Amino acid sequence: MKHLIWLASYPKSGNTWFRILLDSILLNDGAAVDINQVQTASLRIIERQSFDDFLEFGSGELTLQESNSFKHKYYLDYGLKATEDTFIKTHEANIKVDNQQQLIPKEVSKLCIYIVRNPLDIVCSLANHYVVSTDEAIKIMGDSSYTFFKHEKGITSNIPEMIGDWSTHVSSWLNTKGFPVILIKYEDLLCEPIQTLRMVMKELGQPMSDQVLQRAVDNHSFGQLARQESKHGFREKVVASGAFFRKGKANSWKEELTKRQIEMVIHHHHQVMDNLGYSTDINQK
Amino acid sequence: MNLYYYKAYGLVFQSEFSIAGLTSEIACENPDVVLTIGTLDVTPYSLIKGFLIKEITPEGFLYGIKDLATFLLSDGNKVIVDPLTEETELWQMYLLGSVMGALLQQNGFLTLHGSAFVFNNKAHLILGASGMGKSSIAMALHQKGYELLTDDISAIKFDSNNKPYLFVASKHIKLWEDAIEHLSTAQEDMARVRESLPKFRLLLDTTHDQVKYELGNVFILNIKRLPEGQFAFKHLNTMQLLRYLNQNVYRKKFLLDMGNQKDAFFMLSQLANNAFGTLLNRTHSRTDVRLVAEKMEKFLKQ
Repeated sequence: MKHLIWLASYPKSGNTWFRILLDSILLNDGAAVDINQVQTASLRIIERQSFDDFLEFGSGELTLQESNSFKHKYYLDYGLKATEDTFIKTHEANIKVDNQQQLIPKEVSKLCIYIVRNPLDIVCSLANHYVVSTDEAIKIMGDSSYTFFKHEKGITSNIPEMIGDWSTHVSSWLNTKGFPVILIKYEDLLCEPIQTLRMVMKELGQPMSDQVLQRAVDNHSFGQLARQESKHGFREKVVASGAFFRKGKANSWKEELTKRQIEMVIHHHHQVMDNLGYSTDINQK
Repeated sequence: MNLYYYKAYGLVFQSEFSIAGLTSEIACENPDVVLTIGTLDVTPYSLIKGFLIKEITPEGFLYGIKDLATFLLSDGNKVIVDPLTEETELWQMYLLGSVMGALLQQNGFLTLHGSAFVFNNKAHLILGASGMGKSSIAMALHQKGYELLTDDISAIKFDSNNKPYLFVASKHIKLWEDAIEHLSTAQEDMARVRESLPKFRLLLDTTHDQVKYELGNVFILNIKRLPEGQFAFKHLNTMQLLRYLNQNVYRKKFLLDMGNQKDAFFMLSQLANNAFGTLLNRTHSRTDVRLVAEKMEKFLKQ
């Protein structure tokens, strides 16, 4: 049986927010959830200890390529053991491993909900999150070898997640074969949350009343999430950064990016941006 | 043929090949464990998860990783290695890791995932999940003058009064480049554990006067949301300690494979009853190992 439901996105594209909304809708009837107690899509799968337990040897001394190759088998094993639909949040690009199959095993994957966000807005969010300059964030988004939890000089307690550049990340998921990928735009989730969530819940085979959806949206505005974070912290924030939940707005880039920076982002990603309907007019500011 | 002798975990190893990472020993006629290179036929066995072989055969416990190496462990005193890669460092990494874990289990040890150091002539364990900084903290304590007893695998046995003892492993420690930088512990003769990785093996200046040490504290490392530089020590009761010890058994699945699960659980219970367990909550920070070591030292002195 195919039980894995992937919640996938490039980092800072609204995946965490979406996961909190799902948790509220599916498990809490739309009520406010503690951001540090989200049950939907446990992050345990990316813990190195879980990976090592699966391998039955230590993963710390594997190269990135070896790690990716074993990770495909790890996800497959995880899916084979799942007895019910299981959400997994991921920032992995669905790249090919060993020049053969895609990283995400189609044999056990039921569905992917892929959340995409205008890369011009991601730049601003990423710069804040990693405490790097905007130019550096643009560079990260164009880096085809960019990897999460990859420490150049050591290891972390999470396994490396292969992210790649933004365009490849989006394409890797939207071109996935073997299981359906539902595309959600972050901007739609902001502007038309009820319609977007209604569509998602229908695709998940768990339609919910608009009242529940509305309650979930009302209880999890970025202001409310930021207040929770400021009061109790956010355990999923793994880097020493500014607040995880920042503005959550669309089109912040218009105030935050220079014309040169906009040009750089569009130059790198215009093809995928065009395909997704994001404007690539460099004079749009 | 050249034979190499090593001593670790109270056992003398005789080997046909040199092993980087074990402490040399003078030649002896009756080694506890004999290691040889040989050809192992795995064709009757199917791969688990697409890459792993684990079989109890009439000759012993067969453990292999596809395209890397196969190992046959017989009666806790004989290991045949069939390397399938030319990267010696790689198959020896499995030999000193998972295979050593299984061998120690065959020899009746309780194996835990962690490092250990001496304080007041007792062994104190640092346990925790992979990537939590066990070796780095152990190295920081070593720099403060506390002898390192083992890195990565802690092997324990009990005397007739159920008192737990930790067996000394090696004078080597493996550290990542960032830990070496933070601890300013670079050495001229340190060697990469694999050519492609920024991880190094260091030989420590230590004597290891005893083969085993009575066990003192068991520190369990835990990542927690705390303000930067803050730590919290929490005493664990027997049941809590038992739960954490069980989580930190080294290669726990081997116990099931080799039918040693019941014995291991009995030993875990004995350990939980006879050791002092402390949960050490710390932040994600990778740069505070010296501070953690200081806090642990202060805690032990109290």
